Parts: sequence; structure tokens; C-alpha cells
Amino acid sequence: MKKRNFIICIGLFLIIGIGTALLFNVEDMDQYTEIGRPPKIDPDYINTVIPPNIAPMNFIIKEPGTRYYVRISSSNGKEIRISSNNGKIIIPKKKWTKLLNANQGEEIYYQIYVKDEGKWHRYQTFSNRIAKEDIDSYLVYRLIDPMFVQSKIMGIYQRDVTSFHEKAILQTRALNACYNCHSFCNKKPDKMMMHIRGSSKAAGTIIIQNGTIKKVNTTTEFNKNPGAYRSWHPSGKVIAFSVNIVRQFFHAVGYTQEGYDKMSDIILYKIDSNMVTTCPAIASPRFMETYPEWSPDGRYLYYCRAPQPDSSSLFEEMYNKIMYDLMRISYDIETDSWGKPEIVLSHKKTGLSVTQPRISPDGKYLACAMTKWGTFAIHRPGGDIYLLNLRTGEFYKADVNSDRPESYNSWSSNSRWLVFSSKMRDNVCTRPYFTYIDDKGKAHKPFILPQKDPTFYDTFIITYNVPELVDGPIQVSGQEIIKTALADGNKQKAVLDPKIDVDALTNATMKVEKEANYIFQ
Amino acid sequence: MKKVNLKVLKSHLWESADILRGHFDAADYKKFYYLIVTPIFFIFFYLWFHFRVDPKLIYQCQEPIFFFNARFFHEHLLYPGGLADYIAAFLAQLYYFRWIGALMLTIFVGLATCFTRWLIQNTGAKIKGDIISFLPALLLLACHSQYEFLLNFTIGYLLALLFSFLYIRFVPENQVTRFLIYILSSLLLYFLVGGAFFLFVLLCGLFELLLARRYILGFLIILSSVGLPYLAASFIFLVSMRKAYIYLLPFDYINKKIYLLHIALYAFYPLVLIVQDVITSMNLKKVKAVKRNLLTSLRSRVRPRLNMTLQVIVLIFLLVVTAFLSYEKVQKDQLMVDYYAQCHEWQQVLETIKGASRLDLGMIFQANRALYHLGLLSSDMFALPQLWGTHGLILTEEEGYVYPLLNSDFYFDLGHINEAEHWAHESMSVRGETGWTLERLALVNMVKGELDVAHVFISKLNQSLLFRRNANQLRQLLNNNTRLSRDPNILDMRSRMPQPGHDFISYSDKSDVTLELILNGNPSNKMAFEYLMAFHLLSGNLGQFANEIVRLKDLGYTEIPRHYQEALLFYIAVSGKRNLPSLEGYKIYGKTVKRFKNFQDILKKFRGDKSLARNELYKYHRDTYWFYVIYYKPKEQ
Repeated sequence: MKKRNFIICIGLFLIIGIGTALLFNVEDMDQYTEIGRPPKIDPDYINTVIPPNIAPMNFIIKEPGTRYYVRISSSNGKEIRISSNNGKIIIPKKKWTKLLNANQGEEIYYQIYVKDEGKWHRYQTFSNRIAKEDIDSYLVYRLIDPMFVQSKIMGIYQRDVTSFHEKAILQTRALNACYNCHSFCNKKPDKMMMHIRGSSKAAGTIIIQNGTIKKVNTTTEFNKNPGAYRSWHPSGKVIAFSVNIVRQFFHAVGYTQEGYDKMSDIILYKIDSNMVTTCPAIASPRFMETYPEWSPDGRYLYYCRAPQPDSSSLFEEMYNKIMYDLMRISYDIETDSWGKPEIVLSHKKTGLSVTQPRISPDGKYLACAMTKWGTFAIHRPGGDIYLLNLRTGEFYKADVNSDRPESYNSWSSNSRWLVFSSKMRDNVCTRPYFTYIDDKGKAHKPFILPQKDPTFYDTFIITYNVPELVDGPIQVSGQEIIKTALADGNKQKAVLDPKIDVDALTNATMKVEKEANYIFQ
Repeated sequence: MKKVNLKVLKSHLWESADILRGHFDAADYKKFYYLIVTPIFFIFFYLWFHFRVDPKLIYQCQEPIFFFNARFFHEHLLYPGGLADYIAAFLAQLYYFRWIGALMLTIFVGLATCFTRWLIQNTGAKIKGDIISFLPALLLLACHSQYEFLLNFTIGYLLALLFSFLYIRFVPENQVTRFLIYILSSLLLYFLVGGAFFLFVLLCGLFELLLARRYILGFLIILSSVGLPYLAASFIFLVSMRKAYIYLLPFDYINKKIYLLHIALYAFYPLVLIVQDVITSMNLKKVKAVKRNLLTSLRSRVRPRLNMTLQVIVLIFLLVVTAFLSYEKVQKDQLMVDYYAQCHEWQQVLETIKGASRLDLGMIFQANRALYHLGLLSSDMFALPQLWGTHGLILTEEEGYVYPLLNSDFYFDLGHINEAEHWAHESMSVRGETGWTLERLALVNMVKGELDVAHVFISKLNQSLLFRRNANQLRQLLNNNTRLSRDPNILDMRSRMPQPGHDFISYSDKSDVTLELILNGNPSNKMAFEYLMAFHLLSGNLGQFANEIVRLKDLGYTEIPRHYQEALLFYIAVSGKRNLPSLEGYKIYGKTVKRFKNFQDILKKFRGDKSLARNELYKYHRDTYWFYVIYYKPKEQ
């Protein structure tokens, strides 16, 4: 019996050995010809800066060949060797993590060999730099079909960026509603909000705080529409919302989609008192105010503002003349008092319209999407990511942009990583791209969210919408959110601050505020 | 001579008959009938599906898609019933091939009959399963004769039936073992078919309660299963509680007919078990013994033949009635029109419309497209009852969401490529990624010169089961720049597009403005011109129509098309000759003038009473613009 087992073991050993040798077949690689350029790989993970905790950055070698061999190495730790017959390079997670952890701040090198027509070729080695700073471990996004007017497939998902694990938080299948504008307080997963839209019973704004979920109807006598774009005050006590009426239409030539805000204002929702408040400076009938964003110290509310077009104007004549300035207004949460609006960045100076401002948690930079007009940077080429140094006023285009639209962005909690939406890959769907922002404010070459299958994006015709970095997984389950959303009598109707004079805000009879001051001349 | 009474005589006669033809008992009759009848029935089912229903039209209606990729599979694991959807998505591809689709449906109907028969046989068989086992087959035939009826419901139903049979037939008698096996099976089945597992619950529960008299087990089965969807929706799957309970059960239909048929299919089995129980109870009575003697003697003689013959007659009757009631002629016509339009078989579109029992907006819309492609829009469009006015020509936004791909087809023909792209995306949002939508989006982007965008759609198309060949053809074209730049279809499309520098906003509610803008951006777009003219005619805006007549020359018309002549005459009659624009050498033919005079004379004959004049005008002028204006033109237009 023992002899038989021994023979079986030897047999298996030989089979495995021969199989491995055939599979890797690297003994004939001593002779190769050098190719004086790096190989074409997809996704493009060449010469970029990567987080030390990122998932394996699998790629496919887009060079003709029958065999592929890759060596990944750095100053410390064991080299990773991968062989492939189809060019797909799937990096083992454990080895990858080990290598990255051992080499923070160092270069990681890729040596690529391709066997074509019986001969091996070695391409020029390329490298990436491993940053010292981690990226927040989770990315929360909405997956939605490339939306025109209707949308059937939609869901909010969280992806562990240190691995490939993706989990659905909400899907259309669950509530048959529209979900959007998920947002977190201070990049922490314990305070979160999202909207559930539609005519269904589930509609409302879901607010999650330390494991408890509540549903709110943020409409009041002042705002007939519920809150939309949002920003948590760092204290976690207040959420600023814009209230928008958005219109969509289509071009006959060039880029198809177009959208514009017909009107918008900003309101504050006080979570504990379930109260909606605002002030004339951010809810003026003369202006459209949108995209609120709190400064990390909570003392300023940044937002975008454009003059309210005359209601008698034809939209086709004015949509491309609506230009948004970046504004800010001081706010004292203790006394609930507002300062005066200031222009941070004027379209007159930049020639562009500002949208989606996001401030780094260290308060140093403001990233925003700039576009030729309006607020829909994602709908046209020329929608690009810009950075504003809030200390010096230096304003510049980040080196991450393509000739296709870039738009929504979100910072990591250490202010070193920025994720942004871009259509640079295929011009159909937005994908999340990460860029490293160094201490001088330079944005490094962006890279796309890694996927287990490197060809994943080739056939995934679904858009990644509103990518938000957060430093942990969402702490309630989708089932709990669904339960709260559908529970009878569970929806709190927000009350309007009694100090608010609705007539004064909605009518033009109110005192028009003085011309705003510029803060960066 | 000994006298014989009638009873004895009959007995002798039967015996002699038996000697002459040989002895036939009940079992022989059954075998005989089943050998003959069953194949005939299933041949009928096949022929019915093949010729009457036509699986290709089911495909046309449902546009099912199946992708060979991990994510497509993974997404079907995320909800109870997802695997039934996955299997159905794969099998529904077979509808594309008419005979395979018909064969598949016949097999499903056959399986339903087999499972039902086995179930009845294994539940005590107090009810004879002869006709009864065919009844679900008839209901399933009726369900699948409805073009919207989805295959996932059948998969769910058949799996639930199969599990029920396996449980009733093979699970050991020990109650604990039965319960454990039941729990495991129900978990698996719930994951496979979602709410359809309640059929299994009901059958197992009722079997234990009513027939096997295992009351505790029966109650346990029912009670334990009621909570399963609740637990699944609360802790495992991201589905609403409602969906967790009813997915793949017959409660989610807009179509009332399907709803009732599906309910009947599911109600059939518990009813059979209840009737079994009633018969079992009745058999316990003493009377039974006496009756049995009588019945036995009758069965052995008269009933085998009569019984089976009657059963076959009833079955044929039920089959004919089911087939008659479930046939969807109107919808079949609509789908055929769509199918032919998609294949660009324009003459067939018009032929189908001629034979259609009822017309709807979509059919008229397709008919107008067919007329244009056959060069008949400006001369024959009023041969059709244009009851929807301009809506039958160009869909409004609201109507577009009902027919998004059709709308995309129209704008693609028109050369309004961005709008074709817009509606193809709407179609993708409403109906999911289908082969046709992906192909359209690939083509749109090839025409626009967005080649890497086209590549995305082609790659996706390549993962589908049926559209790989199309994907490969498109990819070959895409990878060969010279071929692409010389491809006649692409060149033709580009020639109709609005030219760069002529961008405009597409107005969903002002189609005439959009057509005019297309024409201004590309004056050689003949389709835009003919549709604009047709729009003005249908809306009765003859002033605008007359102004556009000047474009005839630039577009190479050799004569004024018939309906334009009719409209011009009408315009002169209504507004006076001075408003007539210059015809620049074109003529209104004398025969048209003569016909218009005849039209007016008939009206005069009835003193202008339109309702009285209708029959006569219909007889001689129903294909004219004048008849449309008076009788068909919708009031709001």
C-alpha cells in the first residue's frame, strides 16, 4: 500500500513538474531581443504613483505574441513572476501586497517579455512609484447605465480598493427607485446619507449616524423639491443641500447630451432638530446657487453661483451662457449666523464655469471641474479637473486631464489621493481614476480603478457615478436601509426654520445683497 | 325455447364481440390511445408554436440577451430566482431560430405533462390522470402563445414541479428525514426560482396533510417555508420583501390574460390534491362497494372505449378552444411589421399591414417608414388610414419611450445620428443591453467617427450568444480604416447627417422644427424633406407646406408628387389662388384637378354633410389627402 502511494505521489509530482515547466517554459528566455520602448499595456499603469495598499493592478499586454512573461520587482522583497498565454497578467494578491508594503516610497519595476514567432522579446522596463501614503480603503459609487433620460439599472456599491471585493448597498431590484448623492461626513463610514428618488413609498433622504438610519423628507414651504447635491458639515450636525430643477436636452452634432439648471438654491438641514434653514445669500432669486461644500474647519460654505436667467429667455439661446463662479460664505454653527458671500474664483477671470468644488481634508487645496458653461462638465470635452491652492490662490489645471470629459472628484482623508470621474477611456462611461497629489500640489499621472479581469472595462457599459473615497466599509446593511425606506410612518418631514421669510426669499422684493467681494484678486 | 331478457342478451353480444375482435381491457385502450393521441397532440403543439405563434416573433417582442461573461452570471446570483432568469436568458436565445424555439416550447409543454402525470400517479391516483395531465400543457400552450410571456416563469414552474415530484416519490417515509430533505430542497429551490418555490411548498404541504395524513409534517412544511423569503430579504439578498415573496409567481403582470392563465396553471395542482382528498374520503363509504361491482362490469365492457374516446374528444375540444382563445393575431401582426422593418423588408411591412386586423400607432409609424423607403411616401401615404396624424409619422417623446429602439431606427434612417444614439441609449435603459441596441450604438459611433466608442459596443456584442457574427463583421470593418472610409452604408449615413457647424437642439415636442433644422443643416437630405412635407400635410399646416415646395427642384424631383398636388389644390380652394407659391415649372396634373372636382361634387351632392358623404367619398377618394383632412385628421392637429 505504502509503495503504491509512493508511486502515486511521484507520478503526481512529475505531472505537476512537467505541467509547470510547460506552462512557464522560461528556460529558453535567456536569448531575447531588446525592444527599445515600453510595451503597450491596458489599463495604462505605466510611470504613475500608486498607493501602497492598492489591489493588484492587473493588466493585459497589448503586444502580439504567443507567450508572455512578467517580472515585477522593487528594492526590497521577493520578485513576482507571472507567465501568461493570452497576455493577461493576473498578479497574486499576497505577493503584491507584500511587495508594496516592503517598498513604500520606492520604485516598482516591470520587466516584460513576449514570445512572438518563436522568439522572445524584452521590452523596456517601466516603473511606478509606490507612495508612502495609503489611499482610503473603500470607494463608494453609483453604477448606472450611461444615462440619457431614463435609467433602469442602478445601484450603490462599495468597493474595497485594497482587493477586488465589491458589495451592493442598494440596487434597483430592491426598491425600484433612483438612488443618488451618497455622501459621508469627514470620510468616515459611520455618518452617511443618500437620496432615494421616485414616486415610490421608499422616496426620501436616508441619513445614517452610528448605525441608526432615518428617512427625511427635506421639502418645505420654501423648497418644493428635496435636497440634491450635498455636503456634511464637519461637526456632523448639519448637511448643506442644493435644491435644483435640472433640465436635459440633446445636440444634433458632436456631443449628444446637454443639461442645465433651471433654478437652484442652497438650504441647510439641521439633523437633530429636523429643520431646514437658509439665508438670502445662498438662496437668492437673482442667482442660482449649487454644489455646496464645507471647508474642513466648518467655518465656510463654498458653493457655485451663476445669475438666474430671465424666465422669458429661450433656453437654447442662454444655456451656453450660464457661467458659475466659485463662492464662499462664512457660517458660525454655534450662533447660526452667516457672513457675506465672497467670490473665490470668478468665471470672468478663468473664462470657465466652476462646478463640483471639493476641498482636501487638510484644507490646502480645492479641486473642481471646470467647463465651458453650466454645471455639467461630464457632458462635453473640455470638462477638466482644476486645483486651487486655498492658501496662495494659485489656480491651475491638474495634469490628469484628457481631451474627454473629467468631472466629479473626491479626496482621500489624508489629502494625498484624489479620485475623479473621467470618460477618457471610451468616451461612453465614466470610470474612477486615482491621482496622487504631492505636497507641492502636483497631480501625478492617473490610473483607473484596478479590476481582477484587466479586460473588464472593455465590455462593462455601466457608468461609475459619484465616486467617494471613505476610510472603511459602510456600517449598515442594504437590507436595513431598504427596511427603513419602506417602513410605514418612518419618514420625518423636515420643518422650515420659523425665522425664514419664504416670501422674501422667493420674491424679488427682498433686499438685494451688496456686490460680493473678491478674495483672490 | 328459453327466453332471454335484454340484460342477458347484451351480455352474450358483448362476449361474442370480444371473441370476434379479441379482448381489450382498460389498460389496452389506454396504451392504444396514448400511443396515438400523445404524439398527435405534441405534433400539434409543435406546429402551433412553429407556424401560429412563431418563436422568432417572441424573440422580436422580448429581445432576450445572454452574455458569456462572469459578471452577467454573478448578477443572477444576487437575488432569489436569478438562476431561473439566467437559464431562461440562455434558452430564450433559441427563439431566434424558429424551429428550435418551437421544439423547445413543445419540450417544455411535454415536461409539464410528464411531471403532472407523475405527480398525479404518485399522490394516490384516485383521479385518473388521462385528461387531467394534459390540462397544464394546454395552459402552458396558452401562456406561451402570449408574446410577452417570459421563459423564466416556465423554468420556475417546471423546477418547482420536478422538485415536488421528487419529494413525493422518492423521499423516505421517516418524518424527520422527510422534513430535513424538504428543508434542504426548499432552500435550494428558493434560490433557484424565488417565489415560484411556493408551488413546491403547497404541493408538499398538501400532500402531507391531505393524502399522507402526516399533519404535523404538513404544517411544519408550510410554516417553515412562509418565513424563508422574509429571512432571505432581511439578511441575504438585496430585494424588497414583496419581490422576495412573489418573484416568478403569477402576480406581476400587466397583461390580464397572462395573469389569469398563469394563476390557473398554479392553482391546478393544489386543486387536484384537494379533489384527490375528497375522492379518498368518499371511497371510505360503504356504498362504494356496491357501486364498484356495477362500475367494474361496465368498465370492463363499455367504458374503456367510451371513456377514452370521450376523453380524447374533450381534450381535442379543449385544445381547439385554448388555441382559439390564446391566439394573439393583433400582436402577431405588430411584431411581424417590426420584424420586417428591422430586416428592411419594406414591401413585406406593407403587405402585413394590409392583412392586419387592427392597426396601431407603431404599425402606422413603420408603414410610413416603409413607404418612404419604397419611394411612395409622397404619393401613397394616404392610402393608409393616418388616424394618428403627425404622431404616426414622428413619435412624440412620450411615445418614444414606448418604442425607443424603433425611434432610434427612424432617426438613424433620417441621418439624425445623435438622436438615434440618444434613443438607442434610452432603449438600453428601458430594455437592457440587447443585441440590436448594441449593434445600433456601434454603428452610430462608426458613422460619427468615434471608433474607440464603437469598439466598446462591439466588444460587448461579441460576448452575446447570437450577435457574434455581426460583432465580427463590424470589428473587421472597424479595424480596416480604408474599408471603413469607403463603406457605402457608412458613407450614405454620413451624407445625410447634419454637417459640422449646423448644430441645433433636438426638440422632442417640435418635430417640424427639428426636420427643418436637419434640412437646413443638410439640404440634400431627401428623407428630412419628405417627412417635413408629410408632417405639414398631416398637421394641416398647408401654408408651411406650400413654402417648402421650392425645394423640389434642388432635390431632383421630376414632378410634383400626387399628395402634394392634392394638398396644393386643397390649399388653393381654402385660401385662394393668390397664396399659391411659384411652382417653378412643375404642374398639377389635369387628372388630379378632375378628381378634386369629383370630390367636391360628391360633397355638394350631400350638401356638404360630411357624414352622409363619407361612404361615397370613401369609395372613390379614400386614398387622397382630401379624405384624410375631412375624416381622419385628429382634431388636436
